[in-house]
Amino acid sequence: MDSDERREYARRVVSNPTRHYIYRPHKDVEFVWIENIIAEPYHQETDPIDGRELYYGWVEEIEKWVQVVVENDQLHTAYINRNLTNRFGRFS
Amino acid sequence: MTEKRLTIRHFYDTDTLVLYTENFSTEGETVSPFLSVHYNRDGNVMEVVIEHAASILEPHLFPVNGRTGKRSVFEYEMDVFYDLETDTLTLQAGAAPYEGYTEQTVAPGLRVKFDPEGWAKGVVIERAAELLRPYLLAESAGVV
Repeated sequence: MDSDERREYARRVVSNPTRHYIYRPHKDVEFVWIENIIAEPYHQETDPIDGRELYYGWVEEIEKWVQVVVENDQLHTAYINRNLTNRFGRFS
Repeated sequence: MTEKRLTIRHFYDTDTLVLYTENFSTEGETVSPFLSVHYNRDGNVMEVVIEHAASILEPHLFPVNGRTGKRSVFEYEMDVFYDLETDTLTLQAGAAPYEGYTEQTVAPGLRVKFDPEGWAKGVVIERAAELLRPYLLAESAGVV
């Protein structure tokens, strides 16, 4: 996927949330951050157990790490993950 | 003092179980790949999320022929214990015992355990079968 395709994919994912995301969104995480993280993640991995795509990104505005979980091209959850500072450090 | 009311939701499309007392969290913390806790602005846990809940909990909360115990559907880097006599379910990362750990009551019947460094390491749910069975019926989770 080139960068345009990744951006288009990110938009598609954000506009296609799971029921979990619809009913329990973490409202402090903005859609544009989620889209940026999926399009240009700091790190991406596939959960070896359930196949979910995990995207991690540093959000400059809040100076925190955000984790985005995508399942079957649907936005499952996105939240500020305090563990990730231990894993990736800080950017500030 | 008003006790916090625990709300439970199960989202069958992703088999995600959410137990919460408030509607807005600020930060989350991964206890294990399929267990996370989320904090409110005061730094108190207000939400516990269990992924693949029916798959993980069904063997414990729906015992076959009276037998309970760990019958892993898949590995999830988390130990699950269910005490049939007290109807208490414990999900924990890392090895027991929890000496030196602290505990926070999220709501009556829901507690979170922390290691000495303040990281969440486990969740204890009382009246587990009574509370969770209705949400984890195998049919609704698609794990029949």
